[in-house]
Amino acid sequence: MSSNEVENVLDAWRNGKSALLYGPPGTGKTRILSELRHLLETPEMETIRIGADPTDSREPFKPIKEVSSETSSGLPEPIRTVWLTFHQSLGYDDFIIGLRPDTLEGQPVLVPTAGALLDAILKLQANGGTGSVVFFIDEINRGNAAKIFGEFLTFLDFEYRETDSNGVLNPNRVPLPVRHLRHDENEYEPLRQEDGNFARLVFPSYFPRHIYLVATMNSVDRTAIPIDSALARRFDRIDVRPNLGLLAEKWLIEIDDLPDKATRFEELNTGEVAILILDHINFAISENFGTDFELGHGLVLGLDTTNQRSWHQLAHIWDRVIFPQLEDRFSGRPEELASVLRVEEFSGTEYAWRYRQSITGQSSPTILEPVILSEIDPATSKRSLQLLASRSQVE
Amino acid sequence: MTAIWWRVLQIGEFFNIERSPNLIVGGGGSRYIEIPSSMAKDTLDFFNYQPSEVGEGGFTIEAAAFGSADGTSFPINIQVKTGNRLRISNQNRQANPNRRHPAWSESVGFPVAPNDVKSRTEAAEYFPKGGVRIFISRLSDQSFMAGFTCGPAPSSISPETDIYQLYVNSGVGGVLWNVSIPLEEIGSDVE
Repeated sequence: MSSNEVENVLDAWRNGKSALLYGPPGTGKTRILSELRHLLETPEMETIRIGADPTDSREPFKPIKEVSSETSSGLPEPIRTVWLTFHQSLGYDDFIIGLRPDTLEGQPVLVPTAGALLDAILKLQANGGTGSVVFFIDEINRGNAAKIFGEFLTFLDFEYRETDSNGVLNPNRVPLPVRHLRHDENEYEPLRQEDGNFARLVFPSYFPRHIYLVATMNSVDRTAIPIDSALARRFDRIDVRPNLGLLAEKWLIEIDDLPDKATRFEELNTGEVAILILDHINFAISENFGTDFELGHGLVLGLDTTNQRSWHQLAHIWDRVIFPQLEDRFSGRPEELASVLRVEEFSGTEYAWRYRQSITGQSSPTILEPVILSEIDPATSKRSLQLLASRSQVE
Repeated sequence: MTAIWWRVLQIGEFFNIERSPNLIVGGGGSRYIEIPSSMAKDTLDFFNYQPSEVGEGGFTIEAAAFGSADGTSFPINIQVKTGNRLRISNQNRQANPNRRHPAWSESVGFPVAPNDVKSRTEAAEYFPKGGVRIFISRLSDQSFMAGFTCGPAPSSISPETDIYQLYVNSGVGGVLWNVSIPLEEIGSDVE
């Protein structure tokens, strides 16, 4: 059964849009891509229909098995998937077309070479136009989209592609902008493909209907590395948020019981603490910076709540994953960080987080004493995590 | 198949289309298959007739038969009677004329009572448990093909499907509109 996000991606494609999975790190965007890829690569679905057998008077109606020409995704088969991670060095020649060195009769030459997208178009043409190609693009905002897509950015809009949703030739179709390729009245000059073979685009060529894109974007990067606006408006944005319910389901925890249990901190187990701390931190983060900067549930998903060393594992996760993210969010805002860690509230008790004190007794009201939770006394580590997750002050 | 007309056959009707025409029965005993008034409009629509187009002699359609080797069509005459009733005429197999359609004959497995069956009660012994329904299907080329279903629905036909109605005995029959059932020879190894 597909998750909601996977269905939302499929819906975007059905509506002629590309899909953008957008959310903080650790919210499972890559997992969704993986789930979608698996769905697309799953063998054809068999469906059972009722048929009528004219040769059988005694049992005229029978089920017949049909192999669907489309997967449960609705995309025409065969489906080819291409995985890309965008980065600063990715360019037009990697994605569309470039010149690559080769030798011809011992002489070095530059050969037109198809990038990933043009290679996909060549393969679809070679297959008689049947089938589809799905591009999985991770971290799409980390590449220079204008540079990578070039004029092909236009074709993110389905309305300029070769056919409409019914397979009818689209009167608004736009020829592929490959003017730098030589052509005769039937085809373009040969292009080298990824596999080293050569193929020719037909002339004129149009962008095939059944090329689909799904991309991910880390919402924390939104300010530092904004997505190209011309690109952004061509995507359906699908928000992927921290999902505490998923953690509760995994660890067999009733979320509705947590508010009450949080008042009895010593009874909290590791799973409950993890959920409550994540919720507490994300509340503070969203108040100060917005939901784009929250921490994803994936950061604690690996916690084994049944293990005897579960508390040590949670402390380890805190040290290596959660606290660095928290520190990063509240960088330059030590008072807020101390407030999130409830330093004042639990000051004077056995609590891991405290204000820094110098050897001579100077105390800072803002700077925290560095602490590695997994290396301090286990009882203090456990109690500190429980207190941080709790709702009321220790008396 | 694009539409299916069907009629639930009652034991009494079965008796009357199987018995000897010389047998004296109370009330005359119809040798036709009645189409009740509740089905009249749908029946005319199914066969694409307006009431005003149908005269005293009714109308005749040609239908091929399920189980027939060569696909030959045979006539089915539908007469119009008073009270907005229709009937498939002359279906007693021992009568003269016998216009029973081959799709509803013993040769293709249609239930049969002995030639000398004397009563409805006796005929009931030869009437399949789970009942009998005759149907006429309309194909995408607007031709017709007749058949029947016997007994309860096979396990492969789910109650959720429209075609399941051709296996129940409640009501008198009806029309399934807008079906899309492919017509093809189906192997026996299909579940």
